[in-house]
Amino acid sequence: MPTTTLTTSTAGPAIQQSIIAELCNVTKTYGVAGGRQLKVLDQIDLAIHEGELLALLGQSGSGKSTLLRCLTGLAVPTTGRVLAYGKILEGINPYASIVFQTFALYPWLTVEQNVAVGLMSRLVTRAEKEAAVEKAIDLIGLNNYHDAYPREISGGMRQRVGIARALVAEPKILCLDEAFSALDVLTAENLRNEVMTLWKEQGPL
Amino acid sequence: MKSTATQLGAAEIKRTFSWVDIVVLFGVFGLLWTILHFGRGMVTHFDESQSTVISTDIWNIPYYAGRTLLRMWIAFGCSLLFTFAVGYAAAHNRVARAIILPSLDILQSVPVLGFLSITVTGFMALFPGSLLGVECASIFAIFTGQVWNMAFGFYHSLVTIPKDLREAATNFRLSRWQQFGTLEVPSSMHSLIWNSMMSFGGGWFFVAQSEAITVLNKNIKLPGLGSYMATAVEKGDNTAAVWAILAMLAVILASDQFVWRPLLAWADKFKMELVESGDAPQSWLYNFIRRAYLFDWVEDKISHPLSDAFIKLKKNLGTLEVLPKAPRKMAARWIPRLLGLILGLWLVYQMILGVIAAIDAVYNHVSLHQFLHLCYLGLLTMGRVALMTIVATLVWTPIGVWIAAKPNVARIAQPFAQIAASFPVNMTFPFVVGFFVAAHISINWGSILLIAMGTQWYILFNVIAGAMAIPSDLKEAARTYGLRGWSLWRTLILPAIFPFWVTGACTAAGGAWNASIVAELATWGNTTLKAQGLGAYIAEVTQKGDTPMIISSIAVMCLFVVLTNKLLWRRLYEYAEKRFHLD
Repeated sequence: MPTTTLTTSTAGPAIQQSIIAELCNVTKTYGVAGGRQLKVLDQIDLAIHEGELLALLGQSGSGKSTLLRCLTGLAVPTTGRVLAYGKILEGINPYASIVFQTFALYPWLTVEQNVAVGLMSRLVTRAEKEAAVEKAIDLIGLNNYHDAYPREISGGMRQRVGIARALVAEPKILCLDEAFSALDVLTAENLRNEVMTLWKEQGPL
Repeated sequence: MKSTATQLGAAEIKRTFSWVDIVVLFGVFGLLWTILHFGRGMVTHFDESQSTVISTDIWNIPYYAGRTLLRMWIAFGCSLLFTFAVGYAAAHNRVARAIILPSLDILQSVPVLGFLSITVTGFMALFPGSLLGVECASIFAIFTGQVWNMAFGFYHSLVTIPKDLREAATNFRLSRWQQFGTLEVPSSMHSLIWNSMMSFGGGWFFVAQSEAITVLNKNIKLPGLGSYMATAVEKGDNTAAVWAILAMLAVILASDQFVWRPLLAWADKFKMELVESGDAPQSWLYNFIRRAYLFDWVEDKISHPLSDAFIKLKKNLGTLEVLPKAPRKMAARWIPRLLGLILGLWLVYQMILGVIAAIDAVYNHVSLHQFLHLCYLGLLTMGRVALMTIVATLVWTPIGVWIAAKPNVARIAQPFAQIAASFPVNMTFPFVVGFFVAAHISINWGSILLIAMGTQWYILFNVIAGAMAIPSDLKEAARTYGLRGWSLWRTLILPAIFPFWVTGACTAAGGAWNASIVAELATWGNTTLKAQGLGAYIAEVTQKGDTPMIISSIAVMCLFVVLTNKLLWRRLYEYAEKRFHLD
């Protein structure tokens, strides 16, 4: 069953706290071939609280990814509003990171450099950046792989890089867009458990 | 696991300066000095009434070779800038795309050599009394010969960047500049280098041609290998001519070894596929430079502290980094659009003025009869181009497929074909024409051979590339079902190489039109052989400086090229794309 999961990782899984992102009456239509309009999301309301783990279940084509894209600002809703910390979202949501189903790693960058992409938009000095990257790599179990290129490592390791890249920017919302479905069952299960453990134990990164 | 462990080990070794760094330093400063040395010659005084004297002394060859090489690299640098600007604009702006793509399509098929007379006079008027004008015209000719292909390639790579890679860049809020450097240039790097290599190879033809030209009855020579060759042929100095050819070969080989091979070896990591591919391209120079500590030192001691200081400065100025940037105000968005509109309108206005002037010049001077004669000549040249393409296809397809089946042969043959395609065959024309005269071969047929000498290679190495790209499982399936001989060719080989052949044949035919301008009117000492054809006609009126006829004959040639592109090649492309596309 195709799933799309969302994790907020600010606090532990304890009590539900304040709302960090919200979809208000969001409708999204795409123009498809022949000038027809395809309505993917129809008046969706959704609130994401701090410390919450949220899974979206649905058939393929039911709009899970579109919802995620609206939440992260990659797609702009046709009507309705997206709020991030109560403010109307303009452009990309700075509090959200995505982990892609296809990993979306840059083949020409090493593991370390790929993870550092997550920090590129931040004003951090070299030393701060290196420390943050090292921490993320350490956290997700990629030690000894710093200088490897994505094509040199296995699928499970690649997705670890994807997750480290998403975590390095210390997002408030971590969006996993079918992040484990391109992996074999065993690897996917292991990685899912690891991410769950991280979420339970670590709280804020 | 194993490879990373060794990498870790290598990183732990403390690296310091060594003799390698000294050699690299010398190389860098030597290069700078050379550029200055040869560049100084570009701005010398030039008197229109007397042509520059080119000495055929063999010891002058290195200097002339340097001048030619500098011209090539300046033109290439301009092409690269143009490629980035135009390809980027076309990929990111709807309006720009609507203008740029059709213009590139037309410009790509225009025979550049025909315009040489116009650009030379134009640039000479820009820099009166200096050789710089002619120099610019030569560089411009090379530029126009190579740039369209590169710009198209870059645009194509930009629009085919996988969506998820783009979304990742957007999600992590990379600025436009960061996206350009981290995503867009790297993902197009591989095709950019290959395209550059091919275009640069094609450029030699134009540099050799544009260095020694007769425009408006004036003999203009730029110091360079092409003009050296021309002078040697005029004087009938065979030894000098042979030396010039050898020097040309050496310069082409050096460009390959010192620039393109290292670049290819370096760019191997920019390949898009996520699987480890077979043997990576190797370059001794790249391996050598990688041993130098110098670049790490510069990064460590200069560029990193600088960027840190910059970031600290930005932080102190209180730039808020986490909050998203508000969309630009309406006025801020309208200003660039307005500027673009004004620029576009001005360009259109200039173009209309130019077209009106051209029509005016042609209208009163060219009769309908003359125009029909031009079309007849065009048909003759088109026949030559078609015959060349067909014969080259029949000859090189089986050979190309045979070469591709033998990896050992292919490894040697492919660079050889590349160099053969790069070599400006117009330099060897005098010898071939001498042979035609001696053997009593009519230039009407002989010019086909001259045209083929430069352009057939495109067909060969596209066929090789196509045959090498046949997936091995398809080949194994064919073997399992016992396909051989004609049935193997019909079911597997021909369909698989067809798309590649279309690309090669289209490039070859385009180059052939350009080559016809040089090939149909060839000189050997005092003998001038002239074939019936549009190429010869253009060459003749250019030498005479008959402006109305120059314009109308080039217009007819452009018409022929654009029509064959639209009616033949475009359809073949679409057919190949629809029917024979693998995967």
